[in-house]
Amino acid sequence: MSGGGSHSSRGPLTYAAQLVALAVCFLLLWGATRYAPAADESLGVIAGLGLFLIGGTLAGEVLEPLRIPHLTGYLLVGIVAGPHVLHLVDHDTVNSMTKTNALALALIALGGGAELKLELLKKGAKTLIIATGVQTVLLLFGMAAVFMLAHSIIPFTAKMGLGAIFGVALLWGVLALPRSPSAALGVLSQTRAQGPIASFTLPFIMSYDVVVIVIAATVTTFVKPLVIPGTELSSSAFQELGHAILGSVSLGTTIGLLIVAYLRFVNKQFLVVLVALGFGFTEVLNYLRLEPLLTFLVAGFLVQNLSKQGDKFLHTIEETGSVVYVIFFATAGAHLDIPLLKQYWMVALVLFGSRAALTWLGNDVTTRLAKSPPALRKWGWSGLISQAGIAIALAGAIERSFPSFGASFRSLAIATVALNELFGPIIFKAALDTSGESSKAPEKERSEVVASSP
Amino acid sequence: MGLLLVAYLGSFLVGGERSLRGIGLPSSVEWVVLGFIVGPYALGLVASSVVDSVRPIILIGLGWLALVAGANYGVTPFGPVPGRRVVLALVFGLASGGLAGAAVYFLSPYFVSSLAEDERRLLAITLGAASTETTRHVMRWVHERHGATGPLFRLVSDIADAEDVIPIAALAVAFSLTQPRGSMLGPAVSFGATLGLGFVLGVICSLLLGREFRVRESWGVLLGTSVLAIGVAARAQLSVVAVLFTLGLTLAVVSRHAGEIRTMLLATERSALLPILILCGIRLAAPKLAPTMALVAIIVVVRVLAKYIFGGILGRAVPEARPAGGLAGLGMLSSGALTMLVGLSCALRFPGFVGDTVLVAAAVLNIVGELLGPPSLRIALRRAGELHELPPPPPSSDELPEDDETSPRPPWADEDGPPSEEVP
Repeated sequence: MSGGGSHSSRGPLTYAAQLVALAVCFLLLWGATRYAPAADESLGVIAGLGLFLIGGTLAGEVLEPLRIPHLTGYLLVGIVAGPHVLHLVDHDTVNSMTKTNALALALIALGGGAELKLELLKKGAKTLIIATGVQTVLLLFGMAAVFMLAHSIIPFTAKMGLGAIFGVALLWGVLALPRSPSAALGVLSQTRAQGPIASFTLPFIMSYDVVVIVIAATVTTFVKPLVIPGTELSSSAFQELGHAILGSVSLGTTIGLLIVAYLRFVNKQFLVVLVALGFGFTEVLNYLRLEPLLTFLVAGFLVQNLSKQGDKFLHTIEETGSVVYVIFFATAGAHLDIPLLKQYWMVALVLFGSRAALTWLGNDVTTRLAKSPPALRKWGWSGLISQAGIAIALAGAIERSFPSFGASFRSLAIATVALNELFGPIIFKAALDTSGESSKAPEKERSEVVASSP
Repeated sequence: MGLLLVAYLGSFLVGGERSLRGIGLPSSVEWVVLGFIVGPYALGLVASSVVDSVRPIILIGLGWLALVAGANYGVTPFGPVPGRRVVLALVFGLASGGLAGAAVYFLSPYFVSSLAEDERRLLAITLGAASTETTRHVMRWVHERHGATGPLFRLVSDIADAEDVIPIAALAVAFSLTQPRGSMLGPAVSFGATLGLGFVLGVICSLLLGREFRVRESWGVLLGTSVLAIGVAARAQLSVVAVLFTLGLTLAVVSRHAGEIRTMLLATERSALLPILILCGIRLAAPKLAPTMALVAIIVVVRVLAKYIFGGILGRAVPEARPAGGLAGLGMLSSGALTMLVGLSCALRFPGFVGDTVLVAAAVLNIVGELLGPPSLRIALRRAGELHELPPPPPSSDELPEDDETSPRPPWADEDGPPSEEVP
């Protein structure tokens, strides 16, 4: 993620030049697409990756005066260049690009795990535990209630009985739970924020992923008999869940120890290790039906807390991620189904607003119970709005488990997640800026400025 | 992934008197040999089709290496290459490559009767391009290993650096002449588009790197511009290597941060180069062995002769080169990564006899150069009194350097880092 920080030296002329450069990049790819159709799909992938990378970086910079996070710029470039707007990058190309997501997710999870310092976790344990309980109960049942109330404007529930609607509403409640570690990490990486909001948000989101996995499996198992007539309650889902969680934690521990040993004894070409983990090992984990996010999270946590290499490890991941995340978010933007959002915008808006309100309420209750600092009480909810990959993956899993309504459910989910994905990071960054946490960061960025050659 | 790991493991094994710290042999030909050994004609562990399956990655690797070469063009550890020497290098490079190309053009009908006129022309241009380069790593090697310093060393360093533009230009011409039927770009427009695309994106990149140089943002800008250039060039069937070289050169000329950019890019060179060289080795093939080897023999002989004659001329014309005579020219026989880039680029774009021959020729020229170049250069410099005893090199650190936010070192840079830019 491009660093933010002091950009005061950039005048209107710089921003104008960046806008022109952005336009030229779009024009170049438009020209290539128009006059030299690629015989080989891979060439389209390369050009698309280039546009996403340079366009995303530029858009992040151009939007900075508006205090919009860089990752929203990346998303916007993906949306504009993607198959639903300018069609410079088509569906197949976007799908091919998503292969880079394995690396991005591995880096996000490793980085997220490495951000979880044990002493900080101990300090904030009370808040984290209360927040987990409150947010889960409020969002799961609150969103289910909203869904029930709004079912008349949700087309695919029209022919369902009340029991089935209740089941689907619970599934919607589950879908409201996941947050976006990547978005949180992205905004925090850009702002380098320090303070109670930053200290709470990332550990909460990271550890909450495990809770989401467990609750999703539980609710899906219990809802099946309600929605699919003739289905009986089965414990097989829990066996698989146990296997996935225990396996992921064990393997994550092993990888973490191996990384510690590598950093201690070899400490060379660490990028190769990261790439191997991101691309190669993710495949292995998928084959074993383990959770890559949880595995890498545990590995990162171990490296941070069991070795002296944590900060160096984190720094390397941040540096590598700065490029990978641009592609990750731009690809996510290209994936956003704009026509679908147009179709479902009203329902999606209701669900988005309700989720944000419940998240705020959950934060208010949590901070009162935990006697948290005022800044956290006021803004602690802001980082919990974003949703992205995990929510969409969950919607995909629900679609596969409930084929009768799954496709429509997933479409509505994508439309709602799109709103969360677009507005969540903006709200989070605004909160960090308003609370002053962004400006409390050390002027690290300044030290990255290499003096101009004389 | 496997290639990356092989290159990674192999990087621990390289060492010894003939090798260069962080690079291996000056020509890096051992990686090509490694690729050939694991490839279909030796152990058969990797099929040559793997090269086609990772074509996008190869294009990105080729483009990136060309960018590094472009950004470093005309700059040696002594500073910018003086204009007179650039002209000298261009004349020498043109003469050397031109002679090889002409020999191939006129002699090829004796060995391959089935070649059409345009194929013959293409073969001449591409083989000429492959027989021009003198790798700058041989200069680094003789400096690091034998403490070479002095006017002759500086002269050959300058020429070796400045002649890189000839094979790149030849490659751009070859690609422009072979635009597919129905293409909207004629040869002249295509050549102009090659330079134009690199120039425009180079200017944009320079503009975006701005007044202040922020390392983290710079990687996004550099990578993004390069990958966009590679994608557009590949779609338009332009030479990716030539476009990216132009981009790098433009960046080096226009950007006020050229020094930092060079340092950043040089640090990534090995990570990109080793897998590409291994793939070159895997891709080596000569279905028509006899004509291929005959043409390769022709350009090897012409290159050796051309270099020797040039050394002789240099010895008469430039006082610094007088003690070495023709050996100074033979010292510049070492070719390296750029030659392999030309070979692989041609193999991908012109599959069949032309592409195969150029790639084989590039590999053979590197081997011959490795055998003859460094010893000749050492003798030439000794005659000129420019070799000095060196203290034993310090042990290389196994630790990553301490975090230094001001360092433009990328996260994937190898620990040896770029070569020192200090004047010896």
